[in-house]
Amino acid sequence: MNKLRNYSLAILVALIALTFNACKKDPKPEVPEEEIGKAELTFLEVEREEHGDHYHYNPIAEAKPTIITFDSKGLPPIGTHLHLTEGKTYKLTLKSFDFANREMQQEFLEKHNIHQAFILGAPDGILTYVYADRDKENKKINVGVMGYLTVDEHTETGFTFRYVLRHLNPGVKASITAANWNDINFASKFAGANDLDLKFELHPVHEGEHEH
Amino acid sequence: MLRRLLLIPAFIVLLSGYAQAQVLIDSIKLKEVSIVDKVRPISRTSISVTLSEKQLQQTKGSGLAETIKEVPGVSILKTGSTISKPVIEGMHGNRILILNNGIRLEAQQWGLEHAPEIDPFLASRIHVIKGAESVRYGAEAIGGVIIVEPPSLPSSAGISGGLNLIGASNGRLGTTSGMLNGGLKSLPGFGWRLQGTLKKSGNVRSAEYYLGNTGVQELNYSAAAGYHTGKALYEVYYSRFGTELGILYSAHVGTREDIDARIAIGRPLENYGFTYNISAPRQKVVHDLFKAKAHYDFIDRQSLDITYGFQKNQRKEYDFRRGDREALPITDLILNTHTLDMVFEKQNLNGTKRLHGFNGIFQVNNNIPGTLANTFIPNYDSFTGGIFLIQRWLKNNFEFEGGLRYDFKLFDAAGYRYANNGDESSEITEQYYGGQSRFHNITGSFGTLWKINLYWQLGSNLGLAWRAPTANELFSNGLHHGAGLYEIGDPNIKTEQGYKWINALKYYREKLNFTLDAYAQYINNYIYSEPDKTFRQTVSGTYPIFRYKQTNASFFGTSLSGTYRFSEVLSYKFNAALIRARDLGNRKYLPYIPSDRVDQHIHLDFQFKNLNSAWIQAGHSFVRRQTRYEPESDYATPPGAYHLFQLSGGTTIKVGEQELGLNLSVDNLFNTLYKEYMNRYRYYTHDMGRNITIRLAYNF
Repeated sequence: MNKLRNYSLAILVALIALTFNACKKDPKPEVPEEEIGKAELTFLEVEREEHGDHYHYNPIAEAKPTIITFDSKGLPPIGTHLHLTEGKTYKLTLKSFDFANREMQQEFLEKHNIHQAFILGAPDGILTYVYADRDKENKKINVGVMGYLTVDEHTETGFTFRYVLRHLNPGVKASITAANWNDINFASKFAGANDLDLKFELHPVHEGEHEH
Repeated sequence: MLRRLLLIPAFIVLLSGYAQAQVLIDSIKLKEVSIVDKVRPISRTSISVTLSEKQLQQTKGSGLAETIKEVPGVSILKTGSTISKPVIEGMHGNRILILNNGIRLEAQQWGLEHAPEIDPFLASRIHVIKGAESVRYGAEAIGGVIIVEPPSLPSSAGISGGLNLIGASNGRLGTTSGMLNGGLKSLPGFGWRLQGTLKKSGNVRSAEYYLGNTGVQELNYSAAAGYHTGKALYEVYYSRFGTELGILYSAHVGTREDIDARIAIGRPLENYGFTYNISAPRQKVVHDLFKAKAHYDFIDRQSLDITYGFQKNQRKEYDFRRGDREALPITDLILNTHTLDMVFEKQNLNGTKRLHGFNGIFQVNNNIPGTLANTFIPNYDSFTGGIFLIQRWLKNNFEFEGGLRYDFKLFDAAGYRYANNGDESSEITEQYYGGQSRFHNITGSFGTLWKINLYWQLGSNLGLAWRAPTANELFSNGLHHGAGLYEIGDPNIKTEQGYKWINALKYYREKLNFTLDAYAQYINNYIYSEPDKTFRQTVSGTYPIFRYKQTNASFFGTSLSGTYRFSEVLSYKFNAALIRARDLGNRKYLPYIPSDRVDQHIHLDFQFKNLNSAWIQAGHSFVRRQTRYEPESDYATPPGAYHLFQLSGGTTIKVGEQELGLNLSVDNLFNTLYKEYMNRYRYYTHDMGRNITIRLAYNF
């Protein structure tokens, strides 16, 4: 019986000694690769050509891109004010960068079943947006990393253009169509969180209207 | 510190050796037979309620919080349908203490969405102490103590055990739990026990729709062995609690815009259907507990208890993440806790008793690298030491108990965060945070029990309890993923002290019995977080900033529970509770205080020839709308009042020498669509709809 007691005590002491050895305190810095650092939206004029019930978009050789950059707070440089011209169509492309400045918009396309962008802020009838993304098999998908934005009407003053890239909850994407591209109720109808929420001032103008 | 701590096992060995020697000397000199019985883990002057094995049988298959919610004054703080924390008279989390088989549960209790890691199938009794009994049980017992007590180990030969099978309609839950106990003929006094529980549940349903991603899986097991001689008792115990649970998809929110939009609808628009699959957001928690205990009876009614516990709590939280990172936990923490408790007790012939005790806690909390996300909680070492003295007196119809305690806590934290400056350069800067904090506290308690006559009894308990701030209250600084808020701690937060005076008037006669509790509690430096009306702008949107602050708070409340027996068959049970809480510093209401509630039951007991007993019970619960809230510190107004009905029945059938128990219950009988204020996901969904549960218990 004494042996049993002694054995159990020896096991107890060994266990305590082992567990105390497991202590360590020094923290290890963890690079948060999760975070999205900054983003860019590029507007490049294209030619829109009607083909029955849809359009083809042809490049314009002399067109020059306009790039709007956004910092990690989602803000553009102070005073950013973009003019787009009534009747023209622009290829709108997104570039986003992770915490270490690596391009990462491809991730949104690879996980197209949980991502979709919404183009918001314009009064009704001013803009038309068409998703133009393709998956690995070159199949059409609606994400918004690339799309075509047509200016249907000009406005008297500018408005806050908003590009929201939504990280959708499972099963939500199935209920979104291409026609929801400017749905102002996106937050309540399409549950999830925003990966990007980019805002700047946009002013659709007449052809030839001067910068101001 | 490590050297000091390594002295502890040496001290145990010395004490054990001394105690063994004493036992040997005593047995030679006196040759007396002494009976070692299980010590009642609570004082008679504590204001407490004990749930018996029979009562626990009726709720088997539920988590710890649901199991004890029948206790007057106890409610639940839920995070959806998968996470429940017990609330004792308005206090929860780090303001209540849970003792699992005599060891204080040490887990990542700082989060409201962290449920206690305990398998209620282990318990043969659960005690709920409502007083602030920090003196005996240590820090954090501000609102009360929950003691989960397993059955005693057998000490004679033979094998016995039990098997429980549970099925529930809502969530299509299935639970199996078994227990085997035995002894050895060749070694009288030796006993062992093996126990295990397997649980699986899928998406639960509200009255009208499924709640996406609300599955739960649990695998828990334990083993215990003990040996007792006439004078000494040795016990070793190991248990594992392992759970994986889904977090409601609809509750995953990003910015304030998302929150407002979801609240405006108040229910998910997506239809998820039923599945057992669990995906991100989800939690995976494993809690291991090892315990070794020695109890010695010396001469002159003196005894010594030495208990060592080791707990390893690993918490992994998975969230919606970019790319393929959903397979990586966004939070991965391991908390190792060593506890050493020593209590020396001396009883006198006149019934008075004195306890001297020491509690030591040593903790190491580590973030496990590889999450690719900023740490929310720093790594830390923590040491707590406490000594206490409790004296019990008896006089005529009175029992008194008074106690004093001193605690010291050293908290040493260190962590790194990466922050982006947000300028054009987008430079990543590494920030070190943490530091060393020291906390001291003296606590005291005084309790009395007055047996007025055969039928009336009055108990009163005045206690001062405390707790040191937790790691998140001191150091959190980051986006709380999925909750849509940015939390900022305060390294200068002081300890919180609670003074609680609770009284219980009991009346017991065959026809009528009741208990009326009334309490008043003042909390100095009450720690809480609230929006500071500023926002953190990020590339994904704007998040409200919540900061940890301190104030003084008061809690007043009462509960009444009782039974009236109309006859041997028919009885009526009643249980009601109300709490009034105020933030005294800011003259405001406090959030997450349970609203007024009443439960009542009509109970019928039958005796049949071939059956031991059978019973049927019809119940009704009414919960009032919480009207005491601050609109600016909550996203939405509290939900409306609701009524729920319940029907249950059970019987015990003799099968030869064995016993088969059968129990059927229907909760939310009329499938009412309702929301509960104490459910943190009430903004996004309704609570659970009808649930039919069948429980089979076979004991041999």
